[in-house]
Amino acid sequence: MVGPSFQPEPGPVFRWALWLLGALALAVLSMFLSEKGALDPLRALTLRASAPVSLALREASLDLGALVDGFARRNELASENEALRQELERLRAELARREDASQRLAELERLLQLKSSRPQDGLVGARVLAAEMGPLRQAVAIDRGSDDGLREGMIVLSEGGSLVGTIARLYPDHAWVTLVTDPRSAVNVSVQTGQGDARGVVTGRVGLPPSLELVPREAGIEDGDLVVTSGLGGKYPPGLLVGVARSVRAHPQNPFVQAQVEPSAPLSRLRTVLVLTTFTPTDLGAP
Amino acid sequence: MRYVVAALLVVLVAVLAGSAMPAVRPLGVQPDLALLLAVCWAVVWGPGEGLLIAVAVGMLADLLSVRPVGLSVLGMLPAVLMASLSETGVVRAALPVAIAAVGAGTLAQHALFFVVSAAMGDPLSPLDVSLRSALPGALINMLWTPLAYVVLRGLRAVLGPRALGPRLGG
Repeated sequence: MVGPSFQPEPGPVFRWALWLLGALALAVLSMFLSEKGALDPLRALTLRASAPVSLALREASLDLGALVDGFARRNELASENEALRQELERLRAELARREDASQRLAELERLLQLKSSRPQDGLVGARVLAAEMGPLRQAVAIDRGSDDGLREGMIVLSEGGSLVGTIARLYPDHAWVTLVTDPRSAVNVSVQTGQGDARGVVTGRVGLPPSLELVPREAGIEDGDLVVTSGLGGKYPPGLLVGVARSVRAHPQNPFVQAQVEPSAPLSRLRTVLVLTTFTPTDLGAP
Repeated sequence: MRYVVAALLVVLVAVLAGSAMPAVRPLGVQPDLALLLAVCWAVVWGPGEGLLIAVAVGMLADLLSVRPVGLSVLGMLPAVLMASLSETGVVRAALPVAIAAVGAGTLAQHALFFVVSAAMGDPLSPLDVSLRSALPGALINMLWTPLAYVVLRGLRAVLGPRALGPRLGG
């Protein structure tokens, strides 16, 4: 005679472990599909659907952030204003000393890189939809994509013409732009010093402003020197304003100066950007 | 009613993370709202529901970012697992468990992001990641935990106790 079979109920810990395993499997499967591009249509749909709310929240937060920032930094802004006024005066005096007017004009155009000074460039305007500004990743999403003629690697500028970053991931109707402050970013630059140009590299860092590296100590760079793209490597056209050298330090035992770069573009408060469509980046690679 | 509130919170947190929070950045560091929501929900309504919230908010936040979809969910699992301790009787105090789970979860997330970055050919310095991202992030998230916990406790008084997930305690 066979007795009633006893099938124990799974305990709560066992069921909890199953829940966790299910979530783990779903996460891993999603990551796999995501890397294969299978979830791109869903990404595009989600970003498009959330765009109106996201844009409204972003606009409101930018205004609020500017208000809070301005109030908190009112003393700092006053002294910064004074420092800028002095710097402007110094630059004017320096310009006045220059005899060749055409050379002065060319220099200004090269340094400032305003949109009006680049009439030959094709520029596509785009709105910033979303941002990721964590220490490990610095990127913004824009509302233009491959349908608008954009390509991966294209250069993105601020409204004022300063370098913002490059297009890293492209979708039909939007794109993600890796900012120059991203820890994975490296830009070949030229520093406009009082003694001429000095070559170097601006590198993004985790949780810190980008650093200016490989600039020889004897180049004589100083706080406030302008940093522009050098064009070396083929990924960026020459002459785009990246930022200003800050916290410049030279140690006798180090052949290179240590410095930070303060980006000229307001990267955390971007509303609209310009994509440079007429420059084709090339990867020259190692010799 | 609770599911509607949960869905609204999930959408709000995921959208805020990519829109308003990067511009405001209270205290200079962006708190991880998705992690705070998942852990505090797990402590207030039980780990099962917390896990469902973690999956939903993590997936949506990843879809709205440049990260691989699913990475945030994977990063939140250790925190939700730790939050379940509040139900097992090992530790009874819910808020300290939530704070500890958020702190440990933030560190675990950074460790995972570091490994994934390296695997994708974007190696970052482990020292930089630890000192300039993981530790400040954990501290800020832990500071925000009591606020998130109090809000969800208040919601629980209105929305009632949990309905889903295994009960780990006696």
